[in-house]
Amino acid sequence: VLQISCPWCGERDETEFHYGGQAHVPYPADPDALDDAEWAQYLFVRDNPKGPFSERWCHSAGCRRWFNVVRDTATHRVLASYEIGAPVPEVGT
Amino acid sequence: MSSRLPRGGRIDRSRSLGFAFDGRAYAGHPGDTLASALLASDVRVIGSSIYRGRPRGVMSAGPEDPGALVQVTLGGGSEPMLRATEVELVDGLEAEGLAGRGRLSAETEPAYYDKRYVHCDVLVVGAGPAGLAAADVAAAAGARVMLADSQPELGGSLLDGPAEVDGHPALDWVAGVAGRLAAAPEASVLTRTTALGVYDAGYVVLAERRTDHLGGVPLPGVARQRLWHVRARRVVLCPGAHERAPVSPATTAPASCWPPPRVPTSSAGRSLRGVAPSSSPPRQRLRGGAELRPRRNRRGRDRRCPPGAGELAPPGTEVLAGHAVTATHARRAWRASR
Repeated sequence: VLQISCPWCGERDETEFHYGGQAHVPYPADPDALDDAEWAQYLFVRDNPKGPFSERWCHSAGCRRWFNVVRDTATHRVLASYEIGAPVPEVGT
Repeated sequence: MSSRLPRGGRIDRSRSLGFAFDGRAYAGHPGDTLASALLASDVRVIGSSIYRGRPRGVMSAGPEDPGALVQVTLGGGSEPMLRATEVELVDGLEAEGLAGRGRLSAETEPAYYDKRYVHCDVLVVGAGPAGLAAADVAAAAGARVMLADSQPELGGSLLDGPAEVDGHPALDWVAGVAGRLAAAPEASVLTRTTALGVYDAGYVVLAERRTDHLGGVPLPGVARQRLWHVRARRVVLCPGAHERAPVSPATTAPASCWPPPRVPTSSAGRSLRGVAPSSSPPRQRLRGGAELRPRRNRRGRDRRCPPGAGELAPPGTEVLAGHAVTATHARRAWRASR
């Protein structure tokens, strides 16, 4: 069970949160200009790094707010959490 | 008839407890495990192997024992696949040896079980010398400390024989640490508690056995076992080490005298609570006239004895590098160290 630090509530167990996938995936500026392959790329294809990974979490059993977390996918360590819209913080691994 | 030593071990010889094993009545003392009480009564064969029915007995003094599997009936409940080395002896306990598998009880479970979720600064797993020292220092620093150990009393390997800490008897030091932990406002000590797993971010699950040592009678309002979910800032693992028995071809030879007495590990001889199983074991007849012949060690050197190990051996020890166990002989029983 991970321990995740909500920017508003502090450290809580993973069971209070809901996962939201990779963070920082911008909506296409002009969706009509994309062909099917590019649209599928935007919808479905995500990074799968070994190491620090920015992802969205929602504190669904707490303040119900969305925020971003940097998690090391190899060690399951939560390296940082930050608000939506903020830049990715520098993390030492 | 009895292999019980006149003194030593962590048992109370002034009181006697009656129990039954495979339908026969025996007696032991408070402080015995089922394994030590059976060995003291010269019961060597606990169960048998699962497919070929070879005899199996006590190999160790703890949770690592592969042979001494029993089904225990106590207080209206029957539980399979317990290790005799882990069952605390109580009056009226009934046990039977198993052949590698047991039966779940069809009766309704009379006891109940609960769980707790807690947080602490430091969780120490194991209350031997290392764990006690870690918990003592952390508690003195004002941290919220939890100390968990699977044994009924604190001390770990210090309970096995004469030892010293800082020039004083080790058990005096253990009692001192226990007193300081009891007095510390934020420290808690859990005995008869086994750590089941360490998970992400200091999450540890512990299982505490709370009533079996009191006679197994379900107590109103007291759970038989409790599962602790602990989130600790720091986890200190001091579980000790398990000795591995030397592997030999006798492990699989169908005719061997195996295991009573298969060579129990030497540390088990120290931990088995004042028992010296010293009489001759029942000799197993060689089936089909098979014999164990010493076999050349194909690997060329003993896996347990790397080059240079001789320098670490105590003076007077003969080190046989490049040797392996090729057979075991059971004409003489093993002797406990005290």
